[in-house]
Amino acid sequence: MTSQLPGDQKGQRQMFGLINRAFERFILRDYGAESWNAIRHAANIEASTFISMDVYDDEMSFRLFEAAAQHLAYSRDDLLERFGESWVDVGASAGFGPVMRLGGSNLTDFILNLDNLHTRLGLTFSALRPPSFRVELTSSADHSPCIRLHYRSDRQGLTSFVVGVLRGLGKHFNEPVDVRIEQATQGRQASFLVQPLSRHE
Amino acid sequence: MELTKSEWETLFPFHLALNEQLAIVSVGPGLRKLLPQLTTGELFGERFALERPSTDINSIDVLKSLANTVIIIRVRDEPFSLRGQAVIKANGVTLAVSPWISSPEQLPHLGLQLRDFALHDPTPELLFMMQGTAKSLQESRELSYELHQRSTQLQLAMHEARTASLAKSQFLANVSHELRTPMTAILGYAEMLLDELQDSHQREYVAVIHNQGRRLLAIMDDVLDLSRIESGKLTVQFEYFTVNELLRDTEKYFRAEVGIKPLTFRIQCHANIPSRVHTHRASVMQILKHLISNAIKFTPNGEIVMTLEAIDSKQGRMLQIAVTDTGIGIDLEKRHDLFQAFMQADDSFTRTYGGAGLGLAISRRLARMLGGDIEVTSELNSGSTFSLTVDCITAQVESLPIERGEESDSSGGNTRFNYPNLPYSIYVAEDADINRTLIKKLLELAGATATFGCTGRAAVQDITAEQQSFDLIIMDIQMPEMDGCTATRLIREAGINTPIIALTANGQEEDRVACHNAGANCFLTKPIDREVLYGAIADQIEQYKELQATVAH
Repeated sequence: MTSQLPGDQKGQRQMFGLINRAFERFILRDYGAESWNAIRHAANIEASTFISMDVYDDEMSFRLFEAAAQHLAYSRDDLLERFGESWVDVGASAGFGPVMRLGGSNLTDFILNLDNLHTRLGLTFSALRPPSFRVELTSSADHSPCIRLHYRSDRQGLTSFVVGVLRGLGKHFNEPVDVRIEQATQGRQASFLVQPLSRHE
Repeated sequence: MELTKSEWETLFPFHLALNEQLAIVSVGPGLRKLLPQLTTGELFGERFALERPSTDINSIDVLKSLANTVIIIRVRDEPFSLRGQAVIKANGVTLAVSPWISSPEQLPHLGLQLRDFALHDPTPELLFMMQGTAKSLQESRELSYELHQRSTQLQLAMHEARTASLAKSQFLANVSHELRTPMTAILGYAEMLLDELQDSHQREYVAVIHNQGRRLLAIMDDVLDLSRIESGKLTVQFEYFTVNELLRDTEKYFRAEVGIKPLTFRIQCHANIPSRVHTHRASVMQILKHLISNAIKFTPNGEIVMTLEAIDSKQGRMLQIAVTDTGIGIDLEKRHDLFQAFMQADDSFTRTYGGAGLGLAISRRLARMLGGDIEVTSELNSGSTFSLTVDCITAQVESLPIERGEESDSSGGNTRFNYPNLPYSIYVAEDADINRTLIKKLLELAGATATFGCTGRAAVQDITAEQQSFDLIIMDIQMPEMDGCTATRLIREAGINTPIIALTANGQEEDRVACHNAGANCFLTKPIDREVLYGAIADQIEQYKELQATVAH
């Protein structure tokens, strides 16, 4: 049985403007206004700005990602990783800093709270349709502690973004990490191994 | 079903258990994190007070009585409250509460994390909602500010555009006046000289001056027209007029333009054309003049045929006027640039035939303003056909006959002008010396007596003075101190109904309307065409006499 989730307007998947706004900030910060205007034009987007709490079709965000990758001569995955790394600064913290602190005061706590956080966000903002996470605290071959994060989403193609977000979180908490995709299935499910970077130095 | 201590801590991590004496016996881990100094044994009232319901807790019974009420507990010296309910226990009351945080900005000070809240507790969601609302409000303010900024910039840009537009209009009016005033004198004096000279060589020289003056005037008009069209300053006023009027004017134009060229002009009218049309007559005439002028220019000998036909198009029924010549034709490659400004079919044409290459550019723009277009078909060395279509047919086809004039042909040119007899007293308000002299001569040659004023103010004083009576007034519009429109209005307000002919260098529709609204009877443009001037004088005086005769009866 399929049920229509809140935010499913006419069967279209939607994202909050916060994502597009964060992407705009990321491009402006790292590549400049000229690049942003070129990307917006190439993606056929007339709006000069996005409203964070408004909803937009997923398709618009993916057009932006594609246009940016082409304009900046990155692969799509590479671009999404870079965007993910900037997410804590340009997205989550931009106006949502206080509530993001609920996620935890260190990287491990934050990752452990990741699913809880996304569930509660999804209940609050029904159009969000957030991914779900499952965490395993484990150790690597050399017995150093690491985290295995299982990810599942009904959106395809955002695993590289998750890699970037995890790296960005590591920087945010001053605990730089290496993130590897252990397995990925059709871009909707993946397992990431998150290891403190110092262990590999 | 009693909960264990562990269950209480999981389900209500901010709980506070009190005994019968209102002393704290148990604190949930979340509340302990918020208030680390809280100790068991402390009395409830030392750290907390009931905010709602507003009542004093002086015994456990009071708390027990609130078991079915939402309670809000104020925490002394802290920026948060606790919200929940009282659960009656066997040996006291347990307060199942959660922090009530009024603003997300308080969170950093509280140091709470998600896992400090019970999974069923919606307080974090509420905080997300509050943050989302605050974010929306912030962005609304930013957008409102940006909108205000852009609105201010837009108003400034509009003001600048309006100022520039006014300046351009004024510039065009000034340039038109400054160019036409000397042209009036050049053409006018050349015409009079042509009539007076007997020597054939001298007449030939003056004829060249006159023709070149007219050519210069035509180019000047084209440049000003193109400038007006491209600035959006050219307005068209639709009016009803008869096709017969159009045919008469084009025949007259051909006779005036053809000179000594061995050309005949023929008009063919299909039976389906209406006798009346509704469009801007001046623009249609301007286009036809360009087309006929070009046809004459590029046809060494032969004929020019003007064909009128009603045709069906996507826009409805249109009038098509085709001007066909037997001239040199146009190369296929040159045709696509033909309607571009300053383009002739061949650069050598400019040297051979003259012209600035504006006529067709202007004609097409005018045609499109009238809801139509101009197309061309041509064959090199065989001739060309320029077809003007105009959206002007609004009534049923009338069966009134179209008057067909005789075929016109070249009349040899330079025939002496026959001056009419106009024995009237005419007041002329004109500031330019040279034009005053010209008009004086023209009126004297027609037997009229002229009185002159140099400004609008002088004209009003002279005309409204007692004992003054003129048969007609010629009023220049652009004059210093007081312009002609103002003078005309003042004369009318003084109760003087003498016919007034407005004379201006600016031939725009708005000028015509302004003159009419001021009270002028007639509107002529400079340079003065003596035939048109004499015709206007005769017509206006005759109409005035008829009117006076009617009133007298």
